[in-house]
Amino acid sequence: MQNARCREVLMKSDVTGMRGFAKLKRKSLITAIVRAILVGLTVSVLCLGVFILLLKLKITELDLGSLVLIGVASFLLSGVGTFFIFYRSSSSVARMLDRRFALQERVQTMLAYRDREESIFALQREDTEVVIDTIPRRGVRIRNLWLYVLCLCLSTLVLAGAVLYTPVEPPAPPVIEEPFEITDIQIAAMEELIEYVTTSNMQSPYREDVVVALGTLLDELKLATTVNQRDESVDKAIEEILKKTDESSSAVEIIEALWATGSSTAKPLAEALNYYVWQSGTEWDEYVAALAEVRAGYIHPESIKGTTADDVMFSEILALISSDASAIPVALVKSGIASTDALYAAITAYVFTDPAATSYYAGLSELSTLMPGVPYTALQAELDTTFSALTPIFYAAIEQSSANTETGEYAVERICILFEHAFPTFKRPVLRDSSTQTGGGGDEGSGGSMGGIGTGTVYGSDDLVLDPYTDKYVEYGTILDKYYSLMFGKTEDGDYTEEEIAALKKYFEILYGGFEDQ
Amino acid sequence: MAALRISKMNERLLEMTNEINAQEMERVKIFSEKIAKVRLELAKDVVGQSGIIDNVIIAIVAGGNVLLEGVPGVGKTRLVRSLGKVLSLPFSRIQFTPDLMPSDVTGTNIIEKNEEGKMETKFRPGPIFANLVLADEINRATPKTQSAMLEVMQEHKVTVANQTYKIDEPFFVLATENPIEQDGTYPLPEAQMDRFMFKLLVGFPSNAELADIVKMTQITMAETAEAVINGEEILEMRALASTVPVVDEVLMYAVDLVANTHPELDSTPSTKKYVKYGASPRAAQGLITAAKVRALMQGRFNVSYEDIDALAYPVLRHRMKVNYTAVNDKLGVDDVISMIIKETKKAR
Repeated sequence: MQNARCREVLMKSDVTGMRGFAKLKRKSLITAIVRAILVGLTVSVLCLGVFILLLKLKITELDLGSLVLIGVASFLLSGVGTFFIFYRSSSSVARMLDRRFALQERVQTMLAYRDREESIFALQREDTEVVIDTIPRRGVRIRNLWLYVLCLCLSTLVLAGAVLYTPVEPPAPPVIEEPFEITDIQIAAMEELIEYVTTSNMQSPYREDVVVALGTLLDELKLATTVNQRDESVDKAIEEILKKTDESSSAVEIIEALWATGSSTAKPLAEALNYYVWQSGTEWDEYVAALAEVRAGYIHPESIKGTTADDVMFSEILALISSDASAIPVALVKSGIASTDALYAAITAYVFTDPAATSYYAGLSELSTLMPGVPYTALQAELDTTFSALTPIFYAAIEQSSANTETGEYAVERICILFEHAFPTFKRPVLRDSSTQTGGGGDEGSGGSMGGIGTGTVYGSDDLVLDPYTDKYVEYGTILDKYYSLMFGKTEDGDYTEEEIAALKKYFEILYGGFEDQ
Repeated sequence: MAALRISKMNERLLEMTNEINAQEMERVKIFSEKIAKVRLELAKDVVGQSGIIDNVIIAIVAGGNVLLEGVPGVGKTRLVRSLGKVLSLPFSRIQFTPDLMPSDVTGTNIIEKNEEGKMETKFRPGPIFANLVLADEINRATPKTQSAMLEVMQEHKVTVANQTYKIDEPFFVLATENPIEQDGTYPLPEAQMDRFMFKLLVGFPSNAELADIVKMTQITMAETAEAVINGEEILEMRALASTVPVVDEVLMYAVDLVANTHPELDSTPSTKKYVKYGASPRAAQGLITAAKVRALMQGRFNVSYEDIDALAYPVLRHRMKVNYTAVNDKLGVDDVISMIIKETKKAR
């Protein structure tokens, strides 16, 4: 009669007496959840506070998304962990109730035999239910709830503090001025430099201006006591010298303007000027010869066969002159250089825009009409003569420009070497066209490649010297240290006399701008 | 229709269940009333010793034998005699002396003339053939006589001349021992000790109790307790008590406790230090059986740890022996039992 269905109904009826226990278990679950939430919130708020503080102290770098992730992750991890720590299974709740309220294992027994139908078990369940009902409502609660709330409040305070905290910038560390005192060697080197410039070919008044700048620098350095003061004075002197050097030479602007014409004669001219001004004029003569050859190529006997040769020649030559006369002067005007500039005037004369030359060749043109049969070769000879006459003028102008630049830049380089200053970038023409760009001075690089003192820099020029250790030719600057070491070793070994040692030391002092005893 | 049929069936089942529960509740109620009455009646003749009385009642309901140890005059014999009256059980007292023979306990065959005048052997049962036997000063009897009690106490039957005679249930042996007079006594063998469910130490009454005793015995020495329960009722109570559930954790606790009395096993530090040999498995059986009775006596329907702890002493003290280290440290067996209980709980 007691089929399975009836048995199931019986078990679910009030006879089982598990109501009270179920309520307590539910309450236990709720307390575990509440604990988990409180702990999760406490930990996540604390973590956020800590990380925000670290952010403000620049100890770490995090974006908003990472902060959110930290908060959520810490909440979940701590909350879930807390839940599982405090979550009680039914048997655990039963044990807890029996222990806490001295129920003498009633609840555990009831739970263990909840499926038993015998009357004694039913009585036991009823007895237990009665006892459970006597448990006060607050019997199952979160113990020390105030502690959880307090911790949450403290962590909130940490977060608030972190958010409101404004980091105080630490005071700037005291600037410890490195002392400086100019050495006798440096004074001597400066005086030598001043003398060099004074006796140089640099054009007046630029030369005097540079000398003044150098003199001022020397005076300031004699009074300087710190490296900062030294550097300030050197910066000022370099700036002044470069300014004067720039003023003294119109080569950069003119070369750039000539190159920009795109003319088949102006561009080579620009290139030749570029090489000549920043190197020695070894290529100038070669350019002149090449240009003369170009000119000669325009007048070819075969091209004028069967024509009035002279008229054609005249026209062609005049056209050549005109093209140079129009493009190059236009470029010169565009350069912004004054027409009284020596190089400007030389180039102007070179392209025969001199009114006297123009009228001379105009006169030649009239002459051809008036005197038919004047051979083009005569005109060519006249051109060559004029060209040759003008070459020295041009040459002189270019040479002056070169001397100005060279002297000014040398002075700057010397200062940099003496006082451990970085080399500035010297002004060079930028020869731009559609496909290429050539920097001034060709591939020589900036003034920095001209050497200087300091770790990693190569002193001296780019001349190649033999490296005795590797038996290869290397740049001079790379071998300097080795020579120095070799020299120093020999001075210590007594291979040199005192005088020789003193001379060698002075030599390296000038190179290094000072000599440090090892 | 089917749903209606099931619903009616469920109602009927619920009614039946409620009826069964009511009957069971009635049995429990009767149980409690009887226990209370027994206590009340015994208190008329025995002053104080409430703990001893409760434990004796527990042993009787559980079907176990009890060994009472105490100095003379503390009421051991009086207690048992009063108990016999209260339980309205046939009671016999055996005063054990060194010259007591086994047949004096169990009975023997005698030759008698029958009605026809012929001689025939007839079994004359000994004093052991009672429901409640008081074995007074059992340690004074010789081992041979003591061993005669073994079969009776364990199996509730006597074999004489290959003839087995069953003893009516319920059957209890309550033995007494005098701890003072050790000269001329024969300590009970472990096998016989193991037959006693409890060993109870009857202590000297307090001054107030002693005063009551003196006052009472000035009036009369007679035992005035009356019968309130019979053998059948005791058996019913025993059957009811046996149904009391014990959860596995508590049962295993009792088992662990008994196992921890053995120094050769993985037991507690105190056991290894102070115990010479531990209790037998009967101790575990006795613990649980007695704990069920105790629970029911206290109005509970389940065994608790408290029941086990309370009954550990009477169940274990006569079943285990302490070594010389304990003697040296002046620790008695009860002290060692306390330590074992504490360490067993800690290990759990």
